[in-house]
Amino acid sequence: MLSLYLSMLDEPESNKRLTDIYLENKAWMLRLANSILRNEEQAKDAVHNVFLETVKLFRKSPKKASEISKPFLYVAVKNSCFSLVKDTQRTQVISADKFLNLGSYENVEHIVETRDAYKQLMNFISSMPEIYSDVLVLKYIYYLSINEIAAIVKVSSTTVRTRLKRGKKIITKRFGGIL
Amino acid sequence: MIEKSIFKKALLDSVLSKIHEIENSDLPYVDTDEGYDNRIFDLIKGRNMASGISFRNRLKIGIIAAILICLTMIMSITAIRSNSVKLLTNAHKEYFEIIVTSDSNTFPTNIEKIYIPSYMPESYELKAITKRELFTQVIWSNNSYNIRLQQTIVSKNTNIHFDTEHSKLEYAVLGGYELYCVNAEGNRYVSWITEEYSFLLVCPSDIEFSEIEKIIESMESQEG
Repeated sequence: MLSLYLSMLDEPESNKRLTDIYLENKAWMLRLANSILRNEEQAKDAVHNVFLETVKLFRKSPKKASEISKPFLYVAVKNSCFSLVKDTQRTQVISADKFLNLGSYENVEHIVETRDAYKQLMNFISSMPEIYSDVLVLKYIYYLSINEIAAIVKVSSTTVRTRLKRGKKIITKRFGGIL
Repeated sequence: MIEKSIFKKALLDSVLSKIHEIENSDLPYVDTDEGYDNRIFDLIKGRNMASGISFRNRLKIGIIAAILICLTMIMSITAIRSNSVKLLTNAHKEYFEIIVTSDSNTFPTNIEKIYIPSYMPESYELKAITKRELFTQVIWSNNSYNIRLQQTIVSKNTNIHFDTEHSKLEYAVLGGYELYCVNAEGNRYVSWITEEYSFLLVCPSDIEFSEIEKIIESMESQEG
């Protein structure tokens, strides 16, 4: 299977870009994966799978893939970890919020009031369930298609559509929508 | 109603703040052996191993481009020295470019000497050292912030871009070395190139430049 991907990246530019991405980000990616999986070997597998998907994206959509940056990797690593967990625990799906303490969901009405409207928006997004904010990031920042998002977050296309719809609904309910 | 551009920026910033928390947290580091890194490099590069490793990061909203500092002991940035590294620079509208070239093919094929500073600001302790054939990375931490030093080999036609569209590129001279610096997202990126290696030092912006000078001046080589 690897040999299939080995032939994908013929462009020196793509090689350099991805190598740089790896060198710059692997430390925090592995730490994040390890914090979720509590297993260093599985963490390495999760990060390896992220680069497998990234190589696929480079092959399919080089222009989109060239925009890959930290938020993309953050979303990809998290969901790669959850996918590994789901594979090993088929009867139980671990909730995203259970693993990460970095952004817990709060009720809309309990958002801390701030004078800065932008800060309020950012706080609100940070407090959304990450299953919704993840797909919003991949859709609005990286312009990935539904299928491409599904490959990164390891769910079906239908689930991606549902999460996008619900995520936008949450935003609309609070802020009246996105222009 | 929220404007789309503002919504996108808020999305980006919210994720970047979480990543920043990870990088500055006390989560344990995961060490990888050479075999693991080679697996990733094989996956990335496929059959084409000819291209060298260079630091080239694109600056997008909330993301900082890495800065490379051209450092030569004898020559100026545009001077030419026979049988040695030649650095060509071009200032474009949105980025500043450095191209490494040479009349001879004397670049190392692996890291032969590792350069590690003997001086670090107070409270920073050595956290992790990663040694590979083509690059090394050393991390110091004071439990709140990290200082990171990366060393990679340069090769002919190594091409480095500094994105100057979203941040100011600063130039300094330190003991005959030419440094290019960028401050962004709470970090200072300082980089330089010697005849064999390129270095990138990343540290919190609140560290005084005089401290950075001491760090760079205290660099000592060790056999790789």
